[in-house]
Amino acid sequence: MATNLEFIKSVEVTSSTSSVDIDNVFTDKYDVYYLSLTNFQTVGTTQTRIRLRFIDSTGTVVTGSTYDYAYLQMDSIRAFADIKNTNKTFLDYNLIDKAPTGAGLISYIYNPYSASSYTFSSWQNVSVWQAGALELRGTKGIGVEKTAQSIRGFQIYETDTRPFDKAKISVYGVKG
Amino acid sequence: MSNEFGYIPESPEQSFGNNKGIFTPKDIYDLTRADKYTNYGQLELIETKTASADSQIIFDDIKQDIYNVHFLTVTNFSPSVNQRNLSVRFFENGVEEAGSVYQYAQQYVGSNGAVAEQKSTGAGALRTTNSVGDAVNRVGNGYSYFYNLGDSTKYSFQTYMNDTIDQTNVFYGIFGSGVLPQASVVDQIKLYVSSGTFDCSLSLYGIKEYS
Repeated sequence: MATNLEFIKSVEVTSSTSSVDIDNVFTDKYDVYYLSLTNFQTVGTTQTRIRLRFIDSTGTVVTGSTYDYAYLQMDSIRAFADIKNTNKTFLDYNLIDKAPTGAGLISYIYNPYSASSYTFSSWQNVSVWQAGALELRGTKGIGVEKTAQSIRGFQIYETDTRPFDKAKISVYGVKG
Repeated sequence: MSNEFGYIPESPEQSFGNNKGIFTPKDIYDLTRADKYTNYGQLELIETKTASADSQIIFDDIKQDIYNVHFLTVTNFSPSVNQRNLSVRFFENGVEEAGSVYQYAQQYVGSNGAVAEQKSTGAGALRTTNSVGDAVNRVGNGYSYFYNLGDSTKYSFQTYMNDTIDQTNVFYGIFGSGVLPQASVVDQIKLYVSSGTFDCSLSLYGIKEYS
């Protein structure tokens, strides 16, 4: 008997890369998807940000300025910060650092496959980073890709030329 | 275990989400054990525990060698002493980490308009549910995700969200994250209050992954 999470796909990063595509995971079978991102670590010793972009129904990464997002950034040392942007080319998901830190993130994706609605995301994540003292960073955020189009996958990438060499990304359908 | 499953046309390769052929009960049993049989339902209950006037509850078989992500629900947390948190400590290879080594950061938003950030880099525990009153109907509910508990090469992380009602009937929503910044295997999770006892229902799940 199925319960409310149904496994779809898992991708594991085992060598240095700056992007990974998780394609053909969103279908008409589910309206809501659960993403789990764990074990991220950078190759070098400087932290980097990981971001998400969607892949449309033709297999093309959506790189237009059609993303809005907002999140609360919660650090264990410095002051919290409200981060928000409109018309960006990505959703800003997480900050990761070198081993042995790792990180954890869960995200829900809403209505990706529907060609008549925008694609929404909400997420919560945790990581640690070090620019002096070791510091916890958590975020809770929301985002949207503002095109009424069918989305079939997503890409996780970084742009700081600080690739990651370890990560696990799993996708589940949330049974309605 | 047999290496042959499904006999149309002959022993096709099997994997989760891609099973072909006709299977005997033994085939299904063997494939399930090998994580190669499609069986949906990846939110797997590990254990439910009920606290009744307990000062602590310990999950001592969290199956950290199977699950990289754990999910904990807290239902109707009710402390006997006013304004208690339901705190979390980890056990590393059977030894409770009780030092001031945990870090957390959380935001709370109150129905009275109060908004505040709370954080620590030297806490003695993490949190799942915050500052619940001890009067009738003052309860807290929430959930936590835990990451990398079984990975000896990674820190152990938590994200969470909960709601509470304090003694003056102010409702709060709280969300945050925490970490035990030590690369170690966490094999037990302890939930406790700093004084008095508590009632609640706790369910721990594993989120099944596949290669």
